[in-house]
Amino acid sequence: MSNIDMVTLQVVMNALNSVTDEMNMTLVRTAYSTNIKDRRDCSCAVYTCDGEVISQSELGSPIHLGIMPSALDHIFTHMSLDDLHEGDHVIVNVPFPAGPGHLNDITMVSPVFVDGELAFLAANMAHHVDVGGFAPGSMAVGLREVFQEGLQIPPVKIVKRGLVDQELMSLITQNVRTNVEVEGDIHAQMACNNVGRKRMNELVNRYGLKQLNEHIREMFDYSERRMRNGLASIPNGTYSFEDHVEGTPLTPEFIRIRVSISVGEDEIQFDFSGTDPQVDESINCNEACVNSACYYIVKALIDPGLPPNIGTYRPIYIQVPEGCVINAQAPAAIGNATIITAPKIVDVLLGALVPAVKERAAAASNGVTSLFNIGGAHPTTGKLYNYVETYAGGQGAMFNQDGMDAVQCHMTNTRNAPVEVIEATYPLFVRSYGLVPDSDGPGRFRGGLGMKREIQVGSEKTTLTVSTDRSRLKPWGVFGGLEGENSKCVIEHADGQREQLACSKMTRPVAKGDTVIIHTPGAGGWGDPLTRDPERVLRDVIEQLVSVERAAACYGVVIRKQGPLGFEVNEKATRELRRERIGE
Amino acid sequence: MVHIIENRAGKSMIKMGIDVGGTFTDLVVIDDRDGRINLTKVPSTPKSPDQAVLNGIEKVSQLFAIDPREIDFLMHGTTVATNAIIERKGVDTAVVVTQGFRDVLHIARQVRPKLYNFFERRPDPLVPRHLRFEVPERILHTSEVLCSLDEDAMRRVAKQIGDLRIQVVAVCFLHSYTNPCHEELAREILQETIPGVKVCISSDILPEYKEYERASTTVINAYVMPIVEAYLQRIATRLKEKRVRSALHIMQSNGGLMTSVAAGQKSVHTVLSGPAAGVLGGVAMCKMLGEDNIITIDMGGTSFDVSLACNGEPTFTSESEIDGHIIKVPMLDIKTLGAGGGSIAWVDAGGALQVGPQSAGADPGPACYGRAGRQPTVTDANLVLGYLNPNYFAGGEMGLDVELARTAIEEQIAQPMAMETEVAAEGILTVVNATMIRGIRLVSVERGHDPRGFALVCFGGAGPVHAVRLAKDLNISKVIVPEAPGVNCAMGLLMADFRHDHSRTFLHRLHNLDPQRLTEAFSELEARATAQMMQDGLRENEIVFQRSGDLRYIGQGYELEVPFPRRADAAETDLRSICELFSHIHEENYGYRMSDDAVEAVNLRLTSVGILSKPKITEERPAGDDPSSALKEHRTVFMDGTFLKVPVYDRSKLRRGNRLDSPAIIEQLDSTTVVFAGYHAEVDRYRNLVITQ
Repeated sequence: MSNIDMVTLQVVMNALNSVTDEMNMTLVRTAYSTNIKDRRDCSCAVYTCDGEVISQSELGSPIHLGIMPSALDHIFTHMSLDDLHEGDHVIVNVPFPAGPGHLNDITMVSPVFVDGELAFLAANMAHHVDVGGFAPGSMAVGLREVFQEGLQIPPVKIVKRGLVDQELMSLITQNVRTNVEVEGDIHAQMACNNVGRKRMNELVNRYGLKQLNEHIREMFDYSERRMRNGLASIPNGTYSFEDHVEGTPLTPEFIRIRVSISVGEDEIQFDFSGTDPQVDESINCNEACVNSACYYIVKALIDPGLPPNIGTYRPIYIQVPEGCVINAQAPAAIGNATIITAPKIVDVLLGALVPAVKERAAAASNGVTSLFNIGGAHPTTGKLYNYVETYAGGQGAMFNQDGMDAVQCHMTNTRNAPVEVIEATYPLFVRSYGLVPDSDGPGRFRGGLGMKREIQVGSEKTTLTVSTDRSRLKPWGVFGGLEGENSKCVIEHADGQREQLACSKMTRPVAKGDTVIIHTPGAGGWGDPLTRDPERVLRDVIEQLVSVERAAACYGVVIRKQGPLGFEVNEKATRELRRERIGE
Repeated sequence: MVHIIENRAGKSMIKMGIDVGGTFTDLVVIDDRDGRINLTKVPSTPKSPDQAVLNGIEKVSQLFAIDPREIDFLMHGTTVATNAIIERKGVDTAVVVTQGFRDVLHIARQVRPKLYNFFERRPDPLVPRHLRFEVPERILHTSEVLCSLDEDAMRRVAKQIGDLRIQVVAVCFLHSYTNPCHEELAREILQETIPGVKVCISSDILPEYKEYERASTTVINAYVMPIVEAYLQRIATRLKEKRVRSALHIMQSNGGLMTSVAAGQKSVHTVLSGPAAGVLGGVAMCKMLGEDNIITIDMGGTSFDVSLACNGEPTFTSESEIDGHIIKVPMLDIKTLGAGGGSIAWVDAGGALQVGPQSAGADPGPACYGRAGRQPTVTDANLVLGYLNPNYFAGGEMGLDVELARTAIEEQIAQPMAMETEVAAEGILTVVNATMIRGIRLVSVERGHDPRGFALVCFGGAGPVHAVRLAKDLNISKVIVPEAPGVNCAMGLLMADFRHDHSRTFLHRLHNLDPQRLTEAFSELEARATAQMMQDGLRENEIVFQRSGDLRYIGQGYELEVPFPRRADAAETDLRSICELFSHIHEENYGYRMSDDAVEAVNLRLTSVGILSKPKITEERPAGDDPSSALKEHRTVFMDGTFLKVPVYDRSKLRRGNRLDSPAIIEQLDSTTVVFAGYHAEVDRYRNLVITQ
C-alpha cells in the first residue's frame, strides 16, 4: 500500500462518482428523445489518458459496463492523443474492431485539458432512437451485414476546438429518420461531457493534478483488492454451462453459447470456447458485450457495491474465440446484440455459477430484452414516427423469495412507456397491458410472470420489428424449480384473423388496423414446487396469477371454491396429491 | 396587493404548533400579546399519536399558564399518513380500472430498485390483484369517448366490492385527466350501490397524464384517507372536550396549511408534513435575517435531510417516492440520505473505511449507549473525539459510555487500518461528511446552484455537530444554528400559510393556440382553488394565485416549469413571451434552445396561497461580545489531527452579541454545536448562533 490515507481516498472516490453521476444526470436531463430522457438508455465515464476507466456512473445501464472501456480502444486505433485539442468532441458508432455494442450507441469522447495539458478523457454513450438503415429503429431482423443496419460513423470530430462541424452534423441528420431527436441528443451528449470537463478541473484545483492522479492509481489498487477478496469467497473450480439463442430463417435453428469458468484463489477466468460461429443475422455481438456480461455477473454475485473502474477488472480474464457469434468480425450485423445475445450470455454465466455461489444466485430470468418497434408515417401530419420500447418479463426465483413479475432484469433497467403517452404521441391504440397468468416457473419460490401488451396500428405503410427470444426454449429453474413460460407474438388482423409469428425475431410490414400482441417470457423457479407453502399458492390463485388447474398440476395444491375470498386450500386433498406426486 | 389574514376581530392571537416525531412530540406556543415563544416536548405515543398531542397541550397549559380555550390557531405536523404507507397499515381498498389495464399498478414503471442486487424488490401494490376490477369503457387522449362506460358491468363490480365489505374505492380510468365523465359516473354508481362508501377518482386527485403515476397517487390517497380522517376526528373531539375553539390546521408536503377537513379528503398531500415544516422554519427564520439563499440540513439518528431555498423560496418537486410508491403531487424538494448519528462504520474488503448505510438506530443504538450495540457509529466517533459530553447528552437524561465507544472504534476500525483510535474516529466523521456533502451537492451543484452563495442552516440533534465541517469542505462561509435546533419543525408550523396546488394536463402547442383556451383552463383551476380556500375559511379577496405551466419542446419527454402571467385574458403576446421565457430557461438549464414554435404545454399549474400573519419574534438586547459568563469548562478534544483544550459554553447563557472564537463547543439541551478552526460564532438578535468564516 502506498502512503495515501484510506480516508482521503474514500473522499476522492466519492467525488469522482459525483462527477460521472452528474454527467449522467445532465445527459438525461438535456436529451431530446424519450429513449434517453425517460428510459435512460445511456452511460457516462471518465478515463485516464491511457484509456483506463476511472469512474463509470452507476446511473447508466449495466450493458455498457464493458462497452464503455472498449469504445476508447476504437478511437485510438484511428487517432492519437496529439490529435485532440481543447474543445474537441469525438464521436464513433462503428462496433468493429471494438467499441459500441451496435450502431445506435453513438459514443462521444472529449479530452479534458487542465492548464492547457491533456489530463483526462470524458465519455458518454447514448442509444439513439434511429441511425437509418433498413427499418425504423435500426435494429431490424433479417439482415446479413452491418451496412444494412444504418449509418456507420468512424471516429470523427463533431466539434473541433469548440465549433460544431455543421457539415458532418447534416450528413448524420440526413441519414436518420428522426433527425430532430438525433441532433438534440448529440447536443445533450456535448453538454454532458462539458460538465465532466468542468468538474474534473474543479477536482484538480482542489487536490492538484499529481496528487489526484496518485489517488486514482491507489483507487485502482483498492478496487482490485476488493475484487480479489470477493473472488476468494467462491470455491475454486471450473464451472461450465451452455444455452442457446433462437435463430431466424437466416441462421441455424439454435445458436449455442458456451462458457467454462475457472475460479482461482483470487481471480476468475471466462472461456467461451465451444460457442457457435458468427451468423448472417443481426444477432451477433462483439467482445465488448461479452465483457459487459462478465463484469455484470461478477458485480451482482460477488459485491454489488464494487466501483466500476479498471482496477476492478484486473482479476478478470476473458477469452472469446475470434469469429464466434459473440466475438463477430466485420461486416457482421449486430443490431440486436445488446437485447438478444448479451442477456443470453448472462443466463449462461449465471447457469454456470449457480453451483458455485448457490444462495447468492437466482434461476433464469426472462432471458431477453424484448424489443417492440413500430415505425411509419403519421396519418395526420405525414411525419415519420418511431415507437420503440423494450418490454419486461419475469425475474428468476431466489432461494428465499419469488421472482418479481414483469420487471426489467440483469443488464437492462429501462422504464416502460405509459399507455397515455403512447396514445398521445403515436398513431397507436393500446388495447391492453398486463401480466400473463400461468407464465411462472413453478418452484418452492416461483419465477416471475411475463407481461402482455396489445397495440393496434393506426397508420399505413408501417413496419414492425419484434425481437425477443425464449419462444421455444424456456427460462430454466434451479434446484428442482421448473421452467417459466415462453414468449409469443400474434398479429390479429382487422378481420379478426389471428396469425402467430413462427419466429421470435421478425421485421415485417403491418397494415392499418392490425393488432400486435406480444407476451414476454416468465422466469424459472427455485426448489421443488411440491414443497411450496400452500398458502402462497392460494394467494397466487386468489390474485388470479396462477390458475386452479396449474396449482394442482404444478404445485400439487388442491384449491376449492369457497370462503370469503372465493378460494381455499383443500388440505387433505393437497396432502394426498403431493404424497402421490412425490412417490411418482 | 396582498392581504394578510390577521385575526379578524383585531385582537392578538395565541398560536400553537404541534409536530409529532418518532420519539418526541414538540410544541411551540407564541403569544402575540408579549411576543413570547414557549417550547416544550412530550414523549410521542406511536400507537395512538393523538394521545401525545393532548398530553402536550395539557403540559403547555400547566407550564406556561395558557388556557386551551384561548388558543386561536392550532397547527399540526403529522406522520400518520407516512406511517400507514410504510407499515402498510392503510385500509383495504378496491380499484376500478379500464378493461385490459388491471395490472398498471402491479407493473408500475417495470423497473427494479437496485441494478446489481437481485434481492431488492419493488413493493407489492397497496391493492392486491383480486381487488382491482376492470370495467368496459374507453376515452381517448383527445377526450373523445370511444366506448361508453358499461353501467351494468359497473353496477356488478360495485356489488362485488360491497359484498367484500370494502369501504374505500379508487377509480382510475385511462385518459380521465382529459375527460372525467366516466369516473364521475362510476363514483355515482358506487355511492348508490355501497352505502357510506368513500370514492377517490383520479381525475379529481391528480388530473395529469401518465396512468401509473396518477393511479398510484389516487390509490395512496384512498388507502390512507380513512386513517387520517379518523385520527383528525379523534383529535377534534378531544380538543372540543378541552374547549379549544380553533380548528386544526394540517401541514402539507408543499409547506402550506390546509384544514383538517381537507386533510381528511386529500390525505396524500400530508406525507411529508413534518420535514416540510422543518424546511419552512429554516426559511422563515432566514428571511427575518435577510438570508434569502439557504441550504437546510437536518441530521438525526438515522437519516440526513437536505433542501435548498433560493431567493427566499424553497424548491419544489412534482414527483417523489415513499417506500417505492410514486406520489405525484407538488412537495418541498427534500433529499434524504442514510447518514445519521447511528450510521455504522466498517472496513470493506478493499481496506477502505465506509460509514452506513446500515444504522444502529435508537435501539440497540451506538456502542456508547451501553445497550446491545457493539458496532462503532458516528455518535461514538463524536464522543471519542470529545465533541459530545458523555454527561450531558439529551440534556443529561442519558449517560454515554466513552470506553465502549473507544473499544468499538479501536477494535473494528483503528486496528484493521493501522491507525490511532482518534485518527480513526476523525476518519469516520470525514467519510460520513463526504456522504452528506454528496447530498448537499445533489440539491445545489447538480441543479445549477453554487453552494458558496448559500448559508447552511442546520437542525436536528446531530446537525450542528457536523455543520461547520461541511461548510468548510463546501467553501460555505456562513452557518446558522437556530435557537432550538431540536424543535425546528414545530417552529416551522408557525411560519406557514394556507396553500393549495391544482393542476391539469393541457397538451397543446402554444405558439398558435387560441389564447381563450388557456384563459378558460386557468379559470376552471381558479374556481376549484377558490372553492377549496373558502372551505378552509378564507375569503375570496384573501387568496393569491400563481400560475405556471410544465413546458417542453415537442418530442421531449421532460418538462420545465415556467411561470405564467396572470391576466383575465391571455393575449397572444403573452403566449409568445411565455414561449420565449421557456426557451430562455431551457438554454440556462441545458445549454441550448430550439425554435419557439416547437414549445408545447403539458400541464398547467395553479398555486393558491392565503397568507397568514407571522409571529413577531422579540429581539434580544445587546449584551456585549464577552461570552465568559456562559463558559462551562475547558475540555480536551481531538481536532484536525491534534489534541486541543477547547472552551465549552452553555447555549442557554449566551446573549446577543457574544462572540466565540474557534475552536469552541456550545452545548444545549437538544444539541451540540462544534465551531472548528477558521470560523467564529456570534449570537444574533434572535438568539441564533451565526457562525462565519
